[in-house]
Amino acid sequence: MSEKGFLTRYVGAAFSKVEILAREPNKRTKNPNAYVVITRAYKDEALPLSLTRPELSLTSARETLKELWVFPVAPEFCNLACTHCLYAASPLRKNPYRLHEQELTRIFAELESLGAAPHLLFTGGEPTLHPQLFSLLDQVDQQGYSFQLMTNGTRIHASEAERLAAFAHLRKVQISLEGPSPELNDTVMGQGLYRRVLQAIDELRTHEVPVAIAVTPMESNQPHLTEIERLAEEKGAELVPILLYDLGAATDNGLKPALVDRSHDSGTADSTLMCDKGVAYSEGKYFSCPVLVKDPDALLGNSLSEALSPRARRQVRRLRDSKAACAVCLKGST
Amino acid sequence: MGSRKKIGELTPAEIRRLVAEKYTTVAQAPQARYKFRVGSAYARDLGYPVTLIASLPAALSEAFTGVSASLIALSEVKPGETVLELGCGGGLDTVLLAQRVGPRGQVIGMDCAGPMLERAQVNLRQLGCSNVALACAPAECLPLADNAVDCVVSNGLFNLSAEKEAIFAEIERVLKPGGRTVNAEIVLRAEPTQAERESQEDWFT
Repeated sequence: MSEKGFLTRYVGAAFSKVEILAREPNKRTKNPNAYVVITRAYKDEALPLSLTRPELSLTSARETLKELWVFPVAPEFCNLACTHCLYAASPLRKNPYRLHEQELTRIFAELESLGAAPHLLFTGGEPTLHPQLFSLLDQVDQQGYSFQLMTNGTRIHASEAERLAAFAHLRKVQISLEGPSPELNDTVMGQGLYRRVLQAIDELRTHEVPVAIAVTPMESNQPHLTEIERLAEEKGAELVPILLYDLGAATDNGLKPALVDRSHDSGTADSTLMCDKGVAYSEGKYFSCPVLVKDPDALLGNSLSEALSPRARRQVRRLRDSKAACAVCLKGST
Repeated sequence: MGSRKKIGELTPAEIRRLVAEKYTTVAQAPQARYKFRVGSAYARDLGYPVTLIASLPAALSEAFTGVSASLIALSEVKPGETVLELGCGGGLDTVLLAQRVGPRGQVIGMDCAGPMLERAQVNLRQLGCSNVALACAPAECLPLADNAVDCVVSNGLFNLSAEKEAIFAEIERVLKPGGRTVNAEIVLRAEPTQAERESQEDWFT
């Protein structure tokens, strides 16, 4: 057994953090290849009662993994630079990561071995910037996984809408819109984006692709939320409120969330936390949720089985007590 | 060793039995020759203070088979704590732990080899350690309640088990929230060769 094997396969299987206290020469045997390592690991502190949430059933991955978020490109890789972007994505941030076909094959193989069939959410960054996005989605569709695409809509034209319409298992395309008019939307998304986004929505609706309009209620667009709602209705689109996280560009720009009156919620909103329903795959690794994919503390492992292990689930529960972003979800999950 | 099966052909239970047999032999005949070092001279060589060993009954260290002299200091065991020592053997570290936890604390020494525990028992009685409880049990299935101890230590244990994951799962179970496990273990710079892996004797080194 190597040091790495001892730390990761054995101590690490039961404890989330392992420290090496010392390395010493081996005097017990004559093996020149051997040495002594002394490790320390702590069992998690008990959570205060107020913060304990019902234990996630881990009896099977099938039950645990309802959603798998997939980043075809890096979170910060985008053709826009929205003022509220939690990843502070922008065209200036060149991250060369592109989801490889083999990664997808590996994900499918692991899902199959775990007996899980989650809904796949393709997000970013801007996923349509992946040059082979459609062939990747073809694979997903052929495998029979239900999936959705979250995009800013800028690269959705008639031909893309047509291809999307042909998928058997595409549940919806989710497009961001932050205001009911060019003036209100474009201060957040950028010049000319309102018009462009509406074109994409129309194109998708023409091809009968289900559309969801994602809006992030903020102080600035709060007075206009009902207008956006009306617009969505007009377009035959679902309206999905997105939480504003104090991360990335939102922090830099000092944006504040809207004070939303939850009594008017439709009731169809899903109140389960993202980290309770699934995990996020970004740049070759698994994280607790799509919000924290740039936070090393939220890294759960390189494989799905690691990311769903009891150790990783304890790590997720610990994150919820320490991360400001988790407080946003706990307080106002949509 | 009766059977000469290759290590890969043994079940975890067979390995447990062979390990218990081997350490029974060590407890009963610590002066015999083994493929690994045993005893007081070895403990001194590892770094246990000469004065310490000289001040304790000789029987305590003559069956010593640990791998590190720093483990107990690094465990930072404090007065009043409950400490579980897995693979306590003849009881050298057990006594050091008992001194650290003091009269308000407790040390639970466990080992799979009965004669090792008998040796430890005699020594502890001689030294008047009343804060130690000994039990013969496999580390893979501990006879302790959940959240029972502040600290778990082991000094060269995991190489003797084919169920290392089970041991750590048990350690996690019996530790109190916030409790710690400090483990000294022999590891290899490179993965063992096929021959090393298959050699039954080397399992115990």
